[in-house]
Amino acid sequence: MESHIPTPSPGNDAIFLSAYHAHLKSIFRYIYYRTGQEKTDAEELTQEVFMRTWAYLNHHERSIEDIRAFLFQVARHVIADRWRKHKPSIALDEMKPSEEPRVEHRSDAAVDMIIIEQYLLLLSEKHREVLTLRFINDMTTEETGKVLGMTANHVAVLTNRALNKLRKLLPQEHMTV
Amino acid sequence: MKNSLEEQLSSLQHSPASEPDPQWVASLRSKMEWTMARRGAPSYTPVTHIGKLAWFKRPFTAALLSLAVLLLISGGVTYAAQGAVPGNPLYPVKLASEEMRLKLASSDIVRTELELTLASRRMEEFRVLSAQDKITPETAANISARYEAHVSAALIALPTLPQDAVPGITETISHTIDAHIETSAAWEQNREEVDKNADRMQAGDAAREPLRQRREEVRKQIDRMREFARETRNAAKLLKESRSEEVKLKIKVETDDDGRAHVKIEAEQKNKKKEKKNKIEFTVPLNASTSSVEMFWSSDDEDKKMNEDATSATTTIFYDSRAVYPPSFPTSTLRYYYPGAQINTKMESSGEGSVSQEIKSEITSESKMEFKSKSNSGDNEDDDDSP
Repeated sequence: MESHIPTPSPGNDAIFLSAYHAHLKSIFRYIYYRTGQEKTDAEELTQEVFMRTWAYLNHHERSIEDIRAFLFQVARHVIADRWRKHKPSIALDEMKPSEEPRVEHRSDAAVDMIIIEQYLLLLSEKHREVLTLRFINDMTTEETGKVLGMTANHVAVLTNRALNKLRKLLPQEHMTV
Repeated sequence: MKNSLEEQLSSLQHSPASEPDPQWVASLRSKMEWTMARRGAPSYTPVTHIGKLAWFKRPFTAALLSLAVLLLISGGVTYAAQGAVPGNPLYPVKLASEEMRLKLASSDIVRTELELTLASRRMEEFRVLSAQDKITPETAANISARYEAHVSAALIALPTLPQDAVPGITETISHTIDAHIETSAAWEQNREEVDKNADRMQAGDAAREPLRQRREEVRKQIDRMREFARETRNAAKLLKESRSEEVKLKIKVETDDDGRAHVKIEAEQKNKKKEKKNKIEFTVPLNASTSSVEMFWSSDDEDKKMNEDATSATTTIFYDSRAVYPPSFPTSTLRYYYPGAQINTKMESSGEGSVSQEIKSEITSESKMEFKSKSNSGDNEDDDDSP
């Protein structure tokens, strides 16, 4: 491919902006739950994801077929490049959840959310990721498979394993199902 | 009726915790637009370093977080606020910046020392206001409550610190408190002077009485702080000494009529020469806004049996009377193996900040500390038990 100065393409802008609007929150949430639930980290990394995506769109002739999957793949790379390498030497698998939640008077539902979020931190990275993609990002097994590079079947198996693990970790009184 | 696990996970799609901050969304939008307008090389600053992964994630309330962001931006204001005393409009900024520093403290040791620093600050505020004769009973009560909260936090943190750090911190506590006691003695004398002068200058009895009452109230607070400081000094001393000697501790938590929770520690210290009974008591005020602490002693020594009642509940001490601490929440149990026996005590606490059950624990011989994070489910998987 000969090197060339990328020609501005209004089409790219439109594509990018619509993807940006459609998936910003999704990507943010994905990163948030994958990277230890720190908003500042999630913000920086989310920015990186969109900047990289824009750069890619702008410099490549090819259009992106499935931009959502693309965004998530970029997000995985960004997490691997920029976050895993720089966090202090605590393996993600060993992350300890906050032990002193400043929970003010909240509804049961809100407190349940906090509990689940905390216990998510106790899962392995792989389990946490699949549950995030499937339930928080609301993806099908096929879509999840695309992001993770697995078959839909494999995703289903992994999802069940992750759910069971989470179920085992959660305290008795939290679960009724 | 709880939803299925899948439903609960899905509900996180709307979790406020993971909701991006609208200000950030707006600023990112402009960044993107600017980048797109420029074409060619994107001019973002690549992220090369992600801030430290917090060892303890302490969820911020939305309000505190936005105030914190504001403070970071307006660094000048924060700096100016540092000398503020209650009554000064910048005082809340000062308190907020202190809260942030506590939350950002990089280790338990740093945080403990910070609590002591903040306690000293409260003393200083008291001193300044007293000297200017600007102190009202309400202000005095607030400052003293915060003072006690900071000192209590430092004391209660002691069991969780690494063994080798404890002597150092205990020393710091002693010195700091000694300084406080001296300071308060000095301006106690000062106040007597001020009061005498004020009395002499009073017009008539009608004007005198409310003012005298006010001064009495303030004096009560001063006395209370001093008393507390003395108890703390004794407590620190005893905790320090008990590392090497045999100590029997009785720990009791009760609420008084004002709604203040007291942690009472009765310590019996066995000296080689004689049996010395040291009684320490420190008060944890309910309206202070430090974090909550769960105390958990475990015992498997048959000889040192616990009361049956005491072994059946989980205790949580609330420092924030509004806090709701669901018992099913995963907490770190500060396992405080004191000299010898591990005493299993869990007390269920009920209602807003009321802690009413008695723990009778006996602890003897050789000390060991362990910090662990686990869920409150019945079966405890002791994966890493190494001290």
